[in-house]
Amino acid sequence: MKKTWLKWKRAQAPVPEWQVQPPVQSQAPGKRDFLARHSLMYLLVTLLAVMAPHAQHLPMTIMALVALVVFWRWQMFRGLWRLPSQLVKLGIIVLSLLALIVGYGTRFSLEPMLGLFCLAFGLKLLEVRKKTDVFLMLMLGFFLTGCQFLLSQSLWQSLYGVLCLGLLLLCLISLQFRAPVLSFKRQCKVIALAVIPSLILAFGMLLVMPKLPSFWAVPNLSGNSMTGMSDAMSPGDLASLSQSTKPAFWVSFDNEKTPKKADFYWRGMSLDEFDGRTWRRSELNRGARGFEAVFEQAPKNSLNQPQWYDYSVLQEPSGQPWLFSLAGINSADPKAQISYRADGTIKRKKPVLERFRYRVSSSNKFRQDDGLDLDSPDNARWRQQMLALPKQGNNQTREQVALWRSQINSDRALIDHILGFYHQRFTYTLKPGVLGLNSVDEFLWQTQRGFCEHFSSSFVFMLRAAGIPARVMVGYQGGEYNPLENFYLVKQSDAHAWAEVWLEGRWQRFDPTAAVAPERVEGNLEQALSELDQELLQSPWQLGSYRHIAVLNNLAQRLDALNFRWQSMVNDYDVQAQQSLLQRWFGGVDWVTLGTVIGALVAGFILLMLVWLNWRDRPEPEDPATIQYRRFLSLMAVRGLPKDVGESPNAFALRANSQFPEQAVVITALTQAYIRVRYCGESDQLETLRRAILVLKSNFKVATRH
Amino acid sequence: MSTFKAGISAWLAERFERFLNKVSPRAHQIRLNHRSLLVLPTKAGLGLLGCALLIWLLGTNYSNNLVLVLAYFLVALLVVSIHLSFANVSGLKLRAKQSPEGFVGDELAFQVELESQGGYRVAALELFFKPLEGAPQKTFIDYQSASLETSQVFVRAAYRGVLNPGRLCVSSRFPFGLVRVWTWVDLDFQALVYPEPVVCELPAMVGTGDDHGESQLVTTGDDFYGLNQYQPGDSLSRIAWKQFARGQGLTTKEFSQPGQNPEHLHWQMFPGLDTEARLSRLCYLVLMLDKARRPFALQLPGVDLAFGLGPKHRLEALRALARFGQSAELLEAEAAPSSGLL
Repeated sequence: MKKTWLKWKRAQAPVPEWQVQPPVQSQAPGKRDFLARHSLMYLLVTLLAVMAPHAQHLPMTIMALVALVVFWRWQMFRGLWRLPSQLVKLGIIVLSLLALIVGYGTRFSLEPMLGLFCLAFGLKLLEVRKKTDVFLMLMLGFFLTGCQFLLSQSLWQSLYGVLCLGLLLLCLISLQFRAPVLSFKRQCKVIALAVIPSLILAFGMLLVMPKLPSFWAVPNLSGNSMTGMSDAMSPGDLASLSQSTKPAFWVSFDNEKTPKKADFYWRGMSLDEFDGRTWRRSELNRGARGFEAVFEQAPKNSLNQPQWYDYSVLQEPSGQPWLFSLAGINSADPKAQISYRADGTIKRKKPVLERFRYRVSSSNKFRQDDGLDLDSPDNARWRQQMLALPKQGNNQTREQVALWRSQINSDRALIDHILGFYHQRFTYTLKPGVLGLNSVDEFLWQTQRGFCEHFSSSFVFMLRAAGIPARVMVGYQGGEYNPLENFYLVKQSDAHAWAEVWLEGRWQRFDPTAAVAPERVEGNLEQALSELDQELLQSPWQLGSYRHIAVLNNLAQRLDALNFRWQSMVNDYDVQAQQSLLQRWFGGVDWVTLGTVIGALVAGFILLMLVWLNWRDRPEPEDPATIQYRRFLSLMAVRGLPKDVGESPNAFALRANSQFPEQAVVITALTQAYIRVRYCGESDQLETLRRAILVLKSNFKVATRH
Repeated sequence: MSTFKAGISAWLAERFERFLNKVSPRAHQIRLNHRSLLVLPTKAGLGLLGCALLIWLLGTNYSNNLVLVLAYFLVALLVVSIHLSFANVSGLKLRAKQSPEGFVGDELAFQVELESQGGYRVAALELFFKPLEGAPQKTFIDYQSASLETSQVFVRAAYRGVLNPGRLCVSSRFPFGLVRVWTWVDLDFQALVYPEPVVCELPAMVGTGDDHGESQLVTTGDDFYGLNQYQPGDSLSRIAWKQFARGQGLTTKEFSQPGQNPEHLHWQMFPGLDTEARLSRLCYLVLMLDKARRPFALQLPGVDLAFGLGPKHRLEALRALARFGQSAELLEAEAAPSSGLL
């Protein structure tokens, strides 16, 4: 930087002695390649905006490094700090490599790649000096803007992406200028002029461009950053999940007829092994030890079901393979790579790492066999598993259950008795006390305050202790109906755990939480909680916190509907959708037709452009006075008196008067009128000019006749 | 091989020249339109296409429609910015104003008047002439401040005589630097370049025989000598303002100077030197004599300038030196624009 300045100074040679005036200086050479301050400012803002969506998965160390670099550059911008020396730069690079290794280890997934890009984008800032550097950075910025859609495809993310694009374009515009000469408003106008047609074209291209399958296997998001159920349940797990207002999935039913709200139990997976504190999936359940727990087809339906519910589920990425459905599945999407499990749930063959839609048909009633008939001698090991308890611990509960068992003979009566016990004594709360090793004992006989996982856990424990086969089922309960788009939105806060009991030769659902807080099942979580608990759920920044205000509730529903429609539109446009669309529009999907359509679009676009160019370059309309005066000139030219180029109208009039002295009055009046219209803006003289020319014309005619 | 390459490039250059002559012939005023403007993506634009390809690969591999839309968006942006770039420049009128004059080695400032069409003003415009060698000196117009604006384009005067800087390149990368719209216009510029002054002694072979050295030439006397009637072209600093205020008319003060005797400059003063060397020395003497306010006459083959003094005389002498040896038709062609300077 310093050297260039010196060179520039030296270039100003001393003025030679014969020079009368100092020479005109042209601009310093090479200055245009350097980055202007306003460009740098835009660049800093853009960098922060583009990186922001990636903050959710970047390790803290990388974020801190990027923040340091941005701060350094800001200080340089303010003229307080210098460019870092080579040593400092080397140090930062070493630190970044360390941060990458510490942050990601040897994990092979999408996040380390994104982390690397973010680091490169940030660190390049310290090197930026010329416009080409900025351009490279902006290219990386476009790429990272694309990467943010891998994390989420919601409407809000898409709008944010457009904002990022706008900022990147603002940077590109600023590179064209040495100083901020264009007003912000004008720049925004230029960007809008560029972005709106480009977006329309881009969506048009998405519709018709051939969609290809993946070229190679790509690492996916690792799922660590996603919200969702895990395959184990300890006290407190679901309560923490319930504070997230993120959507879990959307359900839309094909028909008008839907189950009752209280029957909206979206089954995820069954947990059947208990260690005294945590419920897990048993080895049997996981399909280990050679037992095939997964079926290619849904088990045959033996009950005569009068009603099927057909619905499709659009599931948010959860990082887990569990899919959610109502009980009694008849069939699920054949092409979605879904397998059926022994407990009557479905799962995907690979984790759900991107938004995933599947169709299910189920009866919402348990069937007699349901793939897991515990009365059948083949399933003796399953029956054993459904009764298994830890060898010791929670002794007070075991004793109490034994006492009840001795008093009550019927299984159903015993279950009713236990539910009644819950109903009388217990409180439903988000803030249960901390439970120790004997969590069931402590909960049942001491704290008696709990969330659904406490109720279901202790309930299944007691049933097993009484010799009744039972399992914990986790999933979601409920769903908010959106009448605008006719879907149910199930949020993470609807996460729920309940019990399923083998009773009277079939599986039956029992929800101990409903015995304590029926509002939870009838309505939603918030209605079931005390006011104090509700505050825990609410954040002043979430629209959902103001649902009790009708207008805002309506607005929230509208936004939900908009987001749902956007996501299903963007997500569902796959090869099949494209083919059916092209079939509908053009009656065929062969490449010849497609090529013709694309060719026609391009040709139409070029034609449109040519028409516009010709319209833009049309000659400027001449003013009427000039048209009239030209008529006069052609009259004179015919009579051998053309006007010279550069001759003023007055001079020409003098010449014409000497040639045609008898017309002198008319010619003078005409010229005066023309000058008045053209140069004095007296448009009323136009009529005089027109009439004078007519008079002159007739005079000439008369003269030639004689 | 290299001759073949050179042949091809020469052929291409000739074709291009013919094309330019067809779409934008020589004129004092030129309005840029889609017939004369050329559009091509810049390196940055090609880089953006590469970026779009990478994003497309990302979108295809993850079968993510929004990422695909972004890739298509970038391609569409390139197409749309062709329109925007074109709209920026198209319709702009360029007009040649007076042609500059200067010494060899000076930067000649060619004046170009820009007139924008309607309310559209041109942004981020680059103007330059193709230099004979080295990088062109570009004039940047960030944003046209008025609908009628004059700007200067510089060319280093490489040789003496009538200088034709060739076609002027008008180019812009607005708005995003992804495409470049440009054209070469011939605004019929002609500059007059005086010889480069070369320092020398005033030869004593002709004249009074006194030893007029350079020291005498540069000395300006400051003894008041008398008043003269004001002549147009006299220096303003010599006007006797006091007398003018008294109502005695416009007069100039004359100072006595040691070397008052008139000097006769002619072709034979520097025997044995070639034409340009002679002209350079004569040019120096003209400048120094003028500075010393000594009248001089200039005699060249075909040129005879009588004794005189003052800026007008100096200019005439310099022009005669500049035009010396130039063909007759060139002189005539040059006469019209140069007269504007007087």
